[in-house]
Amino acid sequence: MSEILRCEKIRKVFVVRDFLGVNRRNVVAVNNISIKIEEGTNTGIVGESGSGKTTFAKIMLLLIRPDEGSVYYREKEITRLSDNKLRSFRSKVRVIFQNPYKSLNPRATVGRTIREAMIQTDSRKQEIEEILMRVGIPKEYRTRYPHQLSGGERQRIAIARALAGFPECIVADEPTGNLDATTEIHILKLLEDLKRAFNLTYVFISHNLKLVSNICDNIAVMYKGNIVEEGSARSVSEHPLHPYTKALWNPETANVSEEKETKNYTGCAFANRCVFRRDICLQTEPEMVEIEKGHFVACFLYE
Amino acid sequence: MKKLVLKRLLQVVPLLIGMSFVSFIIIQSSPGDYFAQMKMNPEISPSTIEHMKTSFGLDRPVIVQYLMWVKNICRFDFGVSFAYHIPVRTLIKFRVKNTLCLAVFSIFLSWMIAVPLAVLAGYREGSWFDKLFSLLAYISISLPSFFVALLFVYFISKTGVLPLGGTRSVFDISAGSFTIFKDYLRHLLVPGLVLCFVNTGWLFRLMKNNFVEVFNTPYILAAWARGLPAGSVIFKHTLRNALNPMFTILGMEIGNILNGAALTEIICGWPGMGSLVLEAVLSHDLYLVMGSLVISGFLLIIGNLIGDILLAFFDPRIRLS
Repeated sequence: MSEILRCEKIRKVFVVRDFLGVNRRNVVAVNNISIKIEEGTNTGIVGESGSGKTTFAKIMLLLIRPDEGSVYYREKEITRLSDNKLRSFRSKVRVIFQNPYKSLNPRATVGRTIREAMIQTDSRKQEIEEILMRVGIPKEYRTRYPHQLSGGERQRIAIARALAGFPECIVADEPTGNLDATTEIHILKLLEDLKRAFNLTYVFISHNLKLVSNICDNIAVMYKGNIVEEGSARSVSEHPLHPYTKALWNPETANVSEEKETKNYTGCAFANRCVFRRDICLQTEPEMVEIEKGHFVACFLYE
Repeated sequence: MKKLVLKRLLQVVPLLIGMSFVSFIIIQSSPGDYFAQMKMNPEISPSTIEHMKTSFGLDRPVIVQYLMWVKNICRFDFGVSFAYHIPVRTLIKFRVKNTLCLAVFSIFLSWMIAVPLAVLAGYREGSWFDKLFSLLAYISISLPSFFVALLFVYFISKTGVLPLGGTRSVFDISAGSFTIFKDYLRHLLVPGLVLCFVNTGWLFRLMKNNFVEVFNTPYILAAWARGLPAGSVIFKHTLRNALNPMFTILGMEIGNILNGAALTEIICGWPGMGSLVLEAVLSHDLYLVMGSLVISGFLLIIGNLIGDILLAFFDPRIRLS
């Protein structure tokens, strides 16, 4: 198995200014994240809202450039390439956004949206209809506009659009976040079918650990811009190690205190909510350590 | 599309009737009339004034006056102006042409300036370019049109680069039509540039906001993620969506210029509708006011119709529904 995407020590800091632009505050959205996406696997990136997972996804797609660190596509560094030089990468690594009500151009017909997403500009009606059939949309929908479609149908169009360039990898940012439960099952089933048919690699970004552990091979758990636990879906779901991962599994019974105000110490980002906190947690940032084979965690409880 | 235009044109009729009725009543019930001044003049006998009132039909009840007026309008007879003693139609025809020229010129120019600048500023939001033009737009919005007009007139009269007042210079009879046209344009420039300056500021602001709003939507991010070239993302995806609300604005703008240009027209000495209506209202010149109002209302409705048609033309979704 060869790797498709690799991120090394990615860091991204946003500068937030107040109204007059006098006071600046740095918000670390992504802090020193490394991840490897192997061909043919499903990788899940899980975290609550505000954990930086969407920012990280945008960095993986180079829609945002990282401040530090590198992104590799098939062993080639592409972090600083111009948008023009990234065009072949962009056709190979596609994205599906969370909200299908916002991610489709309201003025473009379904057919135009898909035609534009294909690399060959001379693609004909037939090819567009073929892709529509693939995602379970009748070919008559070619001439319709997004406002005439339901949420599930729109998300299918968004998937068709991602599929149109025959990509190797699709990054899906909460692909079912805005859909109801039954539609969610249909969309996930569709993604699974497409994976087999087109030999795709998926990266799922989600807040739902249960959902991700069902469909992914590997899982990375993010908290406040850091990856706190990483491993195969099986080991992360069967023996979650990090207190935060445990909390994600059982939000009702979690031993996690309410979030305190901003972090004003140097140590582990989770320490101010952690009930197992020790003195060292506030002073030093924990390193990733391998507990089982391929299962890493960044927590002092396991040293 | 044809149906849309026809439907909208038919809607004009009840609208004009309602508008004219209300304004007729209001003008007639406001205190004083055109003959109030004549009454003060001892040289004019009361019987002469009574005679004039009868000849204009002003001795009858207001409703009857209105119905008579409507009957005449249907024959394109707008009545006679009290003050000018010539048919209102002749007066208005000349003024409407000037105002339309002024409106078309200034609206066209301000769009040509505001839209490209707004796209550039929106694309590079926060850059020095954006900041500079946002400041200029702020100035343009804050300055009242009469002040800009005064400044401009002062500047023009000092330098003498453009003719001031009226629509044409004095020529000998042999002047060709092209010379006259060029001369008309030069006269148009002064009020035209003033109105353009006043309009461009808020157009720029609106357009930039629309552009930035669309530019930050997920479907534009999706367009970048597909690797579409920047030109296609900016013009095909962002600009077209950002222009939609602007067409509604265009319709409103035509009405705005018809009503709001009065001050500019008066200061720059441009004989347009605005100054005519103002004069007529002040002197209670009933038929002139009514005639101008009907024409202004008609142009306003036509302006909105043009905006709607453009919107339907550029937005496929409206054509469908």
